[in-house]
Amino acid sequence: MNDHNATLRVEDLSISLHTRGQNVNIVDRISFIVPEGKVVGLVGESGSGKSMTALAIMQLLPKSASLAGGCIALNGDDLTRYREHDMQKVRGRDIALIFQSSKTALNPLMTVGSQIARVYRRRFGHSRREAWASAVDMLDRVGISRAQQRAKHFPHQFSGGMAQRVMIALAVACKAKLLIADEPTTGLDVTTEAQILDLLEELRRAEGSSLLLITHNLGLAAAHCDYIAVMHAGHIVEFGPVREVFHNPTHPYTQGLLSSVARPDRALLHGTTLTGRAPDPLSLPRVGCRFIHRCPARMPQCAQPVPLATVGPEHTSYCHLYEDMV
Amino acid sequence: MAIEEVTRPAAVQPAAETRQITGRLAHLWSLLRWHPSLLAGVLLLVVILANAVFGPMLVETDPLETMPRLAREGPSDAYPFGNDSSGRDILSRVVHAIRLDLGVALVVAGVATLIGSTIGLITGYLGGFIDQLLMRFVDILMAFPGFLLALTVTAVLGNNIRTIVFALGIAYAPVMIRVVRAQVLSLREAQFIEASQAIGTPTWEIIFYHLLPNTYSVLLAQATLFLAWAVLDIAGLSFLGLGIKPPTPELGAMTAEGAEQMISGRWWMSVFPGGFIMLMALTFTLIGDGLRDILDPRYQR
Amino acid sequence: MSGYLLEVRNLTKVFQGGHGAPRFGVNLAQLFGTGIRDDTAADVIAPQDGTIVAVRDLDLAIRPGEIVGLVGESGSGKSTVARCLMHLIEPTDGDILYENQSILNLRGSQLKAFRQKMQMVFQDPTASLDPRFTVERTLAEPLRVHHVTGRRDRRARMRELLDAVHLRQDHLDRYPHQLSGGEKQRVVIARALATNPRFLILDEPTSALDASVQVRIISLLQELKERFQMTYLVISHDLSVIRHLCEHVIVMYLGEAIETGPTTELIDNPRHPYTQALMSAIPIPDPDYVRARIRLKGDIRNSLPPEIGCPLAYRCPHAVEACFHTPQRLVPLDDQRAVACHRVINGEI
Repeated sequence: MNDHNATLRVEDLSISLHTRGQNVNIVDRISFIVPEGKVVGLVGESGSGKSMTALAIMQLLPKSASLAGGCIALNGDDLTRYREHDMQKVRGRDIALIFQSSKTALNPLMTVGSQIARVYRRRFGHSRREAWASAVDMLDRVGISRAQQRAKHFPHQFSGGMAQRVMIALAVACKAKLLIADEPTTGLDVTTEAQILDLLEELRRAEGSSLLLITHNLGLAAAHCDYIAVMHAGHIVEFGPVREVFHNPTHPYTQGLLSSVARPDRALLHGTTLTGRAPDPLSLPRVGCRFIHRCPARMPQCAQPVPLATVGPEHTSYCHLYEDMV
Repeated sequence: MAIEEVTRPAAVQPAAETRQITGRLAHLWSLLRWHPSLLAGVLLLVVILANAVFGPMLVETDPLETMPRLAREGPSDAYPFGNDSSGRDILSRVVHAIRLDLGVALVVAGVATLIGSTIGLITGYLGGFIDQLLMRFVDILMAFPGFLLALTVTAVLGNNIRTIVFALGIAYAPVMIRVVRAQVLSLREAQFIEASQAIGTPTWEIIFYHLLPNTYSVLLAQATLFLAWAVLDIAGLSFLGLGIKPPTPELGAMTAEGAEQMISGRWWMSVFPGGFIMLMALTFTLIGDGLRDILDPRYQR
Repeated sequence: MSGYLLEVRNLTKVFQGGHGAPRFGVNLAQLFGTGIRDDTAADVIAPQDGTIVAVRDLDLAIRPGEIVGLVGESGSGKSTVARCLMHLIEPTDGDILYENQSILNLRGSQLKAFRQKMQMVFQDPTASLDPRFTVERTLAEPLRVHHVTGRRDRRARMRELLDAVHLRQDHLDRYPHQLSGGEKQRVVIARALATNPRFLILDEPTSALDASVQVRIISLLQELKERFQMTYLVISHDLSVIRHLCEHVIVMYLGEAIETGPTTELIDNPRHPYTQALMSAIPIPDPDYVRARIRLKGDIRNSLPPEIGCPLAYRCPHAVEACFHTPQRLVPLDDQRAVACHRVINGEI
């Protein structure tokens, strides 16, 4: 894979969760890249570890979790070696995060305009007046009408969709090389969702930033991503260009997922639907494939360490089925 | 049609305060381990309960027996806590008094909890004009310091245990009304309540089978605090002569008797009963605060 | 006598006082009756003066055995409709007839009898189960309230119900937090089936679930409908669910029905501009899926409807003068479809 121009390169990353006296790798040795200027979708069901991955990149893991190995290279610099002091310089400058819930991510006691203006003052050293003007301008760019007045409003005076636009304004104002969006449209109406993602795309392109989009919605991933990483129980089971993965899924989990998603434009496919429930995080095997209990194609060797196979152009699959293609 | 696979013994999710804590000792221990003050409170409670249940049987001296020759004697081998102005054995009296005070405190807390929670549940759920009216009434009651209210009632109705219970019960109940009502106000919008309404479950059943159990945690924490307050207030009333009358052994009354003797240096007549008042209040406060902590969902992590 | 199981005429619901103003006029008799609540539902948008018209003049007619869908986004009023139909809140105007009898005047035992026949599956399976009740107690509640079986036969009935939703017997002793999302939803469905209802309202039955689980719940619902010969009203913003379950669908926007028709036709060929925008916004899990995006201007909260006239007027790409002055009613396009847009009817768009 050509990763000379990778904004983000994650290699062998593991995140360990400490709970009830046990240490479990809820993310186990994952690797993926986010090429420069591209959108990578991190797709998976709830509990797959995708949000934890985003937090790990930003070094914002909760107290109960910690990095357990691997490297996170942002434009070549390994973030895992950074202390908190250095990470504070990275956040908001080189990486910007768009949270799922604008209600909790925005400061309820500051006006929206001043929150965005702060970015301009801190990051770019603007004066108060300049920063405010830039903030109003940014609010306008994200489609908030009467930006002059609205900039003086507080977050609770914005509806869900509008507040999410403010979040995007905040993130884009940073002019970061990498944007991470964690389920940015959950809870929004479909029409609003589409508007928000189009907006994000437009602004992202203008800045040339890369985007790591975390979502459980396959439709969104298909529409907005250049590459897809499919996560299951802490493993990236498949990674590749979006068309490759959707039209030629190689991993049994991906296949199951794609065929089990209901679509409005056609009838229900009664075929390979995913059976069973997601594995219990506390009883995950330390070695071997974690899809083993639900996989229609399981073999005895699946309990052994899983090879990473290249199954197509830039397309990898984490499965024993493709052992000979490593 | 796919059938749900074998669900392995579920890892209990850290979550709602409604997690079933009772009856699982190992789990209880792991909770207590991380909360030292609650642990201390529980240990003290065990001591006090042991005393209340077994104490009077184990103590040989009759708490009411006066022994004039031993009046105002200090702690000795025969009488470790010394003797009071009439020569009675203070240790024996303290042991009996703990049982009495604990008993009355329990009744007070029980009455206040019962009245307060019932009213709080009903008015919180039904709302409307009567709720508004009732809460203004509660506001008025709460404007008076509980002790003063109880004082007034006992002064008017006389000192006996029944009056004390009534007075303190009235003083405390508004607090429970507010606490329970607040919980109900947030619960009644919950979808499972709506689901019960959709089923057609009668209102009283919703209140007592659905809402009440979901208020247990706040209820218990507050009831425990009632116990702490009750111990102090009963002792306080008796100290002023408005509570339980001598010669019945009661910690507050004993402390009052001994207070005059402090100047002459006979500390044991006040310090022992007073110390136990403090200990009991401390025990229940620790437990009440501790319960509030462990039942807070955020603590579960 | 009409052949409809459920009929709704001119249903209107107006909320006063905006965000959850306290209700006055408590009735002590409610202490022993089956409560009727009144509150502002989550799906209403509050304009400045605090009066919210959640549902305006809605008509509905469902025959026995049909599955009808109600589609709308936030603010459409669909949840309010559900609660009016279940008589959990009082409509401001209009009538609701079940088996040709108005349900609005029912009290006491008659109301209870009605509740036995019409049940609801709520949106969030976690929130709609009492966290302190085991599955057994949850299922026992409707059985007890409606005296479906005697005490001894209750367990047997619960076994039947669990079987019907494909849950195992040992689930009876579990608490909700020990169940997965899909399992919880099955328990909710089992509870709704307990009284042998003829009519089931499903409010966003799959929205809180993962994608793969959604499909299995949809299949389950289809199976149950066939087996127990029920009628469904499915409320959802998710058109995949609607497509797979419903024969007929009604699209709502800001409290008004703006388009109706057979599901596949309506989804494949939407006529009303709002429906078109909605269809075009749905993400399809296929990177090569191409379609024209129909965009609505603005945001639903910033573009409230004009006093009279079409609720979509300020946002519609095809709006003309008349749209702001003339209320739009559903007008048949052919014998199956109807649209509330004069421009569509006149063939202008």
